[in-house]
Amino acid sequence: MDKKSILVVDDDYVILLSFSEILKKHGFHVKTAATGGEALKILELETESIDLILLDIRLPDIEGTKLLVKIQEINPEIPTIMVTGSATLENATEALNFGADDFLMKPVSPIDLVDVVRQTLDR
Amino acid sequence: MVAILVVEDEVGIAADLARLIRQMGHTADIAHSGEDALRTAEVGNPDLVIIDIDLHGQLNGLETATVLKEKFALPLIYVTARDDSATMNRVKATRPFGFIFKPFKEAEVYSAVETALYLHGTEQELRRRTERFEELLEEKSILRGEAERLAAIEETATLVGHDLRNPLQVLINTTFSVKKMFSAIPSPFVSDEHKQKALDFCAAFNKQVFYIDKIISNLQDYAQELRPVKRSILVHDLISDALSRVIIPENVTICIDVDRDTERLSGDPLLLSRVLANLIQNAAQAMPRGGHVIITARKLAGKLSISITDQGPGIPEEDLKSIFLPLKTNKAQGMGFGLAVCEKTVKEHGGSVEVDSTVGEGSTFTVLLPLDIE
Repeated sequence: MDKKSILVVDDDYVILLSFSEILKKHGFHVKTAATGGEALKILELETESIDLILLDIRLPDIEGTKLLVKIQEINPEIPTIMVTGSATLENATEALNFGADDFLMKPVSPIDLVDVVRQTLDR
Repeated sequence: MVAILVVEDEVGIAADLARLIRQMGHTADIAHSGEDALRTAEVGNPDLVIIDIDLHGQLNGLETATVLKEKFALPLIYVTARDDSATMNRVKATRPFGFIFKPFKEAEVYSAVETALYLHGTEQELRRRTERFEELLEEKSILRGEAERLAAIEETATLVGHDLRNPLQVLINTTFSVKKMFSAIPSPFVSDEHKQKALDFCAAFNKQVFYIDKIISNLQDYAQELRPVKRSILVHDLISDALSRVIIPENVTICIDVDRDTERLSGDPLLLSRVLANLIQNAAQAMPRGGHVIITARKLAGKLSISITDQGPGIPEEDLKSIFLPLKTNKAQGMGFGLAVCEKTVKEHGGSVEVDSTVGEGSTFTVLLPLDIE
């Protein structure tokens, strides 16, 4: 099976680094973006090569939910997992309403992260 | 009908006054001296005193009146033959409600008595209202202080909550990397014992991070506006679900006493299950040496009452008052938000949480929730 590529979008550098590390350790390719703009650029250039997006709900340049809409305009097929820092149910359901495939609440354990990524890819 | 005490040493005048008073439909007691008046007032509980300013004997009229006023808070009418302002000024300090001037006419006595009774009634009412007003004012200021405190907590929760989760994520991810790193070092370079120690440290570290996360969640739960999504829930299911969320120590036994056909209630299953889980967890934690947690559900006056009873040390009465306020806790490792969130959630459902506790015997927390009447 081909290595799947994951695009991690988070404005926290250390989170990007450590999520990448965890996902790489579990056999994924990882690309990172620190802003919504960066994420969109990567998607436009190489939309075929991204299998899943891990998207922080709070970004400096655009709201996560709005970015989600733009991502779907570029490629509606691409599965997205929203990551949220505020553990409110509303945020989570909001993300799902905007078309996210799943959501994770920070802090998430590496096991859960990888589980949810794999399940979403399998769907 | 009121009881009036007439204090007058001239026997004829005393009898005249008493007769008039009785004609007015009141009762009259007569005292012929100051000392006599004090004794009679003690036994007779009069509502009004009519007293001669120029009383003879050990206690004069003014002295007697002063004692009656101070000791029994009785309204006074003075009887006097002198209608000069010097006399009236002399007795001003006792705040009389009227004067009767000798020789008096029936109508004068009548109007003096009625006016005094009316004034006295008004004064009493005013005092009652002032007291009630002061009580309300105090209650309000306590409530306002509490509201300000809550607002501060909510603001902090919102500000801090989100910003703490990112660093927590970093900590968790870092321990993951450290674990991987240690596991990858081949055995000649590190002993299995050391490797295991490092992994144990990581696990302990992670546990603490998730504990911090729980505190933040509780804080945010408390601060955020709850919007229950209500549906019909079988009480039995609710309790089972709550129990599945709780880790019960081996020395604690759970006894469930729920009618099989118990009613359904209307509420948000997730939120209510968290409330019960919290109360059950507290009950188990109250008994570090073990014991029984008894869960009962009963229909009670159109509501459903779910009680959770422990055999812990109980809660002292002075702590019961503030038990549902945030950041008040007696647990060694408590967030001080659990019960506050419980109460908030239950109130949001139109219910209430009550606590009944006896020091040395244990505590019972009762959640009252509206039944689902479908």
